[in-house]
Amino acid sequence: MNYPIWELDVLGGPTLVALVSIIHVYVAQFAVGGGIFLFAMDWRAQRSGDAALLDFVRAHTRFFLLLTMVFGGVSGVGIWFTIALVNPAATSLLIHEFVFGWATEWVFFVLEIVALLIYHYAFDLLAPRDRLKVAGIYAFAAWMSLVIIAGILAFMLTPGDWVQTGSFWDGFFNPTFLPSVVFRTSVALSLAGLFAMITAMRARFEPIRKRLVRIAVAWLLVPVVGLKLGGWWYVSAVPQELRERALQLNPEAGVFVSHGVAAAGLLLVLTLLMLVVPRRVGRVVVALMLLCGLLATGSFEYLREIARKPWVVPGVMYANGLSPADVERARTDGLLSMARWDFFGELTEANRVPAGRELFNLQCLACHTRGGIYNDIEPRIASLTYDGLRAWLEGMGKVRDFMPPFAGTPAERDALAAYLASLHGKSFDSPVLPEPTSPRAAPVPAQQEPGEHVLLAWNDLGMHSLSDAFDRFLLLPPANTLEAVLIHRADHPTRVTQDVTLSYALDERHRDPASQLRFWQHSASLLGQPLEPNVGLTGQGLTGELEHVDEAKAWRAEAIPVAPYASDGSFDPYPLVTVQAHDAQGQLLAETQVVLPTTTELRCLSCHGGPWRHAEHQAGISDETALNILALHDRDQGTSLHDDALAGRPVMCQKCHADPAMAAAGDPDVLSLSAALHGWHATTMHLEGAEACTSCHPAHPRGTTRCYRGLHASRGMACTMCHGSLEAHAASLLVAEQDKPMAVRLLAAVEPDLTMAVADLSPRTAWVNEPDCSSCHKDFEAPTAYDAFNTWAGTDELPLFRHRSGAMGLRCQACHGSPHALYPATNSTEEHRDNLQPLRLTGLPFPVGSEGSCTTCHTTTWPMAPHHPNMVRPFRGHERRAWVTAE
Amino acid sequence: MDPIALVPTPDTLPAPAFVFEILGAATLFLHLIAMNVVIGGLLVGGWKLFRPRTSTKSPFWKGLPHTLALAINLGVAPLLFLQVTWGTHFFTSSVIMAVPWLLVVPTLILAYYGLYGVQAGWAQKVSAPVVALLLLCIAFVLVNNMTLMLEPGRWIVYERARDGLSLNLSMPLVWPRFLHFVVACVAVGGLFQAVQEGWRRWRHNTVVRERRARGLRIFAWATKVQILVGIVQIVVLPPGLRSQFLGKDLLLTGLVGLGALLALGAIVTGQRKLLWPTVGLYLGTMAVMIGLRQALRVAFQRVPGHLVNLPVETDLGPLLVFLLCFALGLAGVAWMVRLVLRAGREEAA
Repeated sequence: MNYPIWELDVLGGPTLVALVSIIHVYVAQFAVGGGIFLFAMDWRAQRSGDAALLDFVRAHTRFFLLLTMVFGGVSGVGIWFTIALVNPAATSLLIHEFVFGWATEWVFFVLEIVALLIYHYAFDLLAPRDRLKVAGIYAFAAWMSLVIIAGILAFMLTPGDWVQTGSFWDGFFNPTFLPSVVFRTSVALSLAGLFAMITAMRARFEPIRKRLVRIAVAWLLVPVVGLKLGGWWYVSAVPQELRERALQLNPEAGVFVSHGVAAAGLLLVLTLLMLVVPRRVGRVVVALMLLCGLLATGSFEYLREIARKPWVVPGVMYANGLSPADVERARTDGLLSMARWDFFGELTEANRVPAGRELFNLQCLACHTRGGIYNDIEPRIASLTYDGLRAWLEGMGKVRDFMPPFAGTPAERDALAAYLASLHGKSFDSPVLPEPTSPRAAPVPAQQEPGEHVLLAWNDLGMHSLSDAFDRFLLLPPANTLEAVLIHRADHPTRVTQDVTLSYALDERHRDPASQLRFWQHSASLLGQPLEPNVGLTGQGLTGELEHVDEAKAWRAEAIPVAPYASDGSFDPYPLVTVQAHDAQGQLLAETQVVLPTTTELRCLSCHGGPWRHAEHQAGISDETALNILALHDRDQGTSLHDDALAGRPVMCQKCHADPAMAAAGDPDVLSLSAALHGWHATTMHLEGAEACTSCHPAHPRGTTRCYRGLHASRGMACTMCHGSLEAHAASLLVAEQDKPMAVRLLAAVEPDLTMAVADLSPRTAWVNEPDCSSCHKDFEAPTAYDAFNTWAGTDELPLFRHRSGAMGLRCQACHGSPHALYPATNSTEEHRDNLQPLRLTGLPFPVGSEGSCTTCHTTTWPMAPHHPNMVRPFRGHERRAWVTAE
Repeated sequence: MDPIALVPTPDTLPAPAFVFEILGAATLFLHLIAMNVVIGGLLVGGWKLFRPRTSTKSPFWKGLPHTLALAINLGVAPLLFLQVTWGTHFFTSSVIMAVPWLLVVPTLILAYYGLYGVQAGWAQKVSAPVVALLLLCIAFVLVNNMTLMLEPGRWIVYERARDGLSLNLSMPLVWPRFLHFVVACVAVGGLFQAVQEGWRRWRHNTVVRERRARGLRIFAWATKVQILVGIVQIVVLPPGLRSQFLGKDLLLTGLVGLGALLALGAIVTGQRKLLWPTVGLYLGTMAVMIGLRQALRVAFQRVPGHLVNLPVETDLGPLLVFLLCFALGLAGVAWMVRLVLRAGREEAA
């Protein structure tokens, strides 16, 4: 922001810094350990009068000087040059805070150079004792350089009290300073042994070579204890949050951990091999050992860098040079206007893409490349749509807290998303959905003459979504639940619960879902056991019988495998099921028809890219979308779902994520499915209110399903009035699982967007706890306020609407219809398809029993309200007026 | 776009700016001498290689790698102190010319190893000029950066070129300033030769005296040219600044005058073959020139008072630790040098 940014697109700043610094650190640590090694070997040669060893020291000194003083010294300056170019703000911070630390290190550098030059060029001129003193000065000066650099590097990882005090000493003597010194000193000593082998291998005479190699190897192994203890101490001193971020959360970390461990392990093996059979060891092995040392050093240094991401100095400056205060200010003032190198002025529609590029430079280029060799942004965003990118940017710094939060206004966020989308030639406008088709004209069914029995049926949820990318994963299987009550019509009607048979038969066109869904082919992998085609999870088929469930006070057929695709491939999310009641003699007592709503219109593609599986219907999760979801899951959670799916082993989400809807226990350490889905997306979604809900669920007003179609919908009530905002909805689920670390992380991420304190949230479990009708309908009266969030039904005292019965034991849904499709509902296929039952029974699309239609079940009209208060009255609202006018 | 608005917000200094300016000037003084010796030594010594009967085993080369080691080392400190007081300008100009600036590092490594090759006598007729050329390339890049940082108005070039490939070639000051450095190297190369000969035990030998006189002649002639180059440097300054050097600003004018006087003095003593007075006057000229360089940097700012306005929160502890270590370090260096000299004397005896 303060400085211009070097557009190092292909190589990338971090790669450049890594290239220079890892090689330098490798040589520089050798310079430290090598100094101590030379001192020790010189002392030993003098003490034992070992001329061969002294020759070795002399020869090694020249190699040492040429490598450490020339390459090591200048490449150290190279790091300084490089970081100043890649991140000038951070370099300036380090220079200003520690200038006298650097200056003191320079003094030791001077001492090192002078001592080494004298030691080398006056090796034979100086008296042995004096030479040893010079070697001692070199060793001490080199080690002091390490100490000072270790202090400043450790400060960048754990600034400690400096954040509060700003004191040089607090910054320098920070929590990881001492362990870092112990660890780095041990590494330096080991490297001295490693490099000593190069000189040892050049000894002319075999016995001498063998002895020298043994000395070098022994020296290499001596600091192993220090390495182990120092390493453990170092890792322990790093705050848990940073450790987790480095080792678990940041997807970059894995490769460095595995490479580092492998390299260190191989180095140890080769070292032991050399100790046992030094004669057979050749230059290739020594070169391999040096390479292993370089890899191990590089991996450690990289992990240290990763651990402090997204910071340069935790709590003070992000990797992109912005401070938390800058980010805060940018959210209101805009980053472009804060940047000194602002060539845009006002952000407009026309300059969105170039402005986005500028924002990329300011915020992203510090870590990412464009089409470069490391951390390339292009493949990372390839599958995301413009909206997905907006969401991604919104989520930065929240759960993906190894990245800094996005700094800028919403318009700037969209400009950056537009620029990123343009990198792949994608559209950078949110897609405008076509106008929805009007419901087909269909005759309104006439009222039927009442018989001796009344059959009322309903679907328990009002809509059952299913994910039809079954060869990739299973989020929701085809599983619709049908319930019904059979009422014996009388002055005092009774529910018939025995000696009758209730059967169902789905619309014939929907009786072969196996021809449309690949659920059954993958059922063994998804569910752990194969299912017969067209048979549901509980053994139900597309025709079958209902069983009476006493505690439900209804007949039920559970998990009927309904698909929204008919056998001819057409899409109908509201297939009708015919339910019949027969007595023991097989005589038909009553018959009804009800929708078994089901859809595949899950809008994952809005962000995750890819087309619809069935573009003509705007339905279905395509392969591309599904694989992108899995790839992101793998990236963020360290799973291998993407590759497993490609290998023909798709999994069911509920295998790990508990889900009461499927009675799945999941992994107790993993978030439940709903908490995970809502929690994760609440940290990324940029949409607000009901728009956030309908961007995923099949309730989009321009969608093909429009599942939110009941009375509340026609009254203009938004999803959020009952369920809360996405963030609040997610938080209420997460609060119930606060014993899981991910819940705590997600909760912390959504907390800033909540309008109430987390402590005031009532915890809820998905499907078990839902909004309660009486939150608004006090005593069954018309609501005076519209806010049902945070008071949850789902207890014995306060059952869910879909489980609840009125005073006479009749289920609420029997008369009111399913949730989200309360009578009168407006169906997207045929206007009254959801209202068939009340129309046939009462001649009206309103709740059965309203408008004085008591005679539907009663043989006489009742003047009072036996089922619940306030029911004997005309149906209120504009729907009635519209109906009367139409009639 | 107002160029002044491009100057970044400075970070807080842990001591007043003058501390870093003094430390920077002192260490730059030593760095420049060492670097002039190396490059000058290569230029003068390299030229001699093409004359008949010059030994490639000349001890003349022996000290150059050590001197380069010290030169690099002594260059670290002024660059560090520069970044404290002028980091806002320096980091910006460095990013604008990032590629050539970063290439300084591998070039230096190459030159450094090359110098060891020269010392070892490897194809000196090629290696010596090549190393000299590499080091002069570095000097040219440094001159570009040190001049680009002076004028925020020239930073606008970043708008068109963000790839870090820009140099500051359009600024008139660049060329005479680089020439100034090259000529200084030649002068110091001559002086270095004279000092080397003047140091010898058999310095009264006629041949040695002739060599010393030749070195001083080179110095004197180069310094004469240097005065002309100095005048050109003043002439190419922006008019407002030029007038400051020509009487409007007493300090700047005084420094120019003093520097010219000392240089003229060095020319006179050089021509009269007075080695040590010439060395003294040369060192004096260098000191004044470095002061002038610092003053020029301040004068270039359109908004005066850059150094005065820097935020400061003095923290004496780290400064004192540095000074203590510096004193101990110097003592350590002196003790080791004494050891070598004593051992050398003992061996000779």
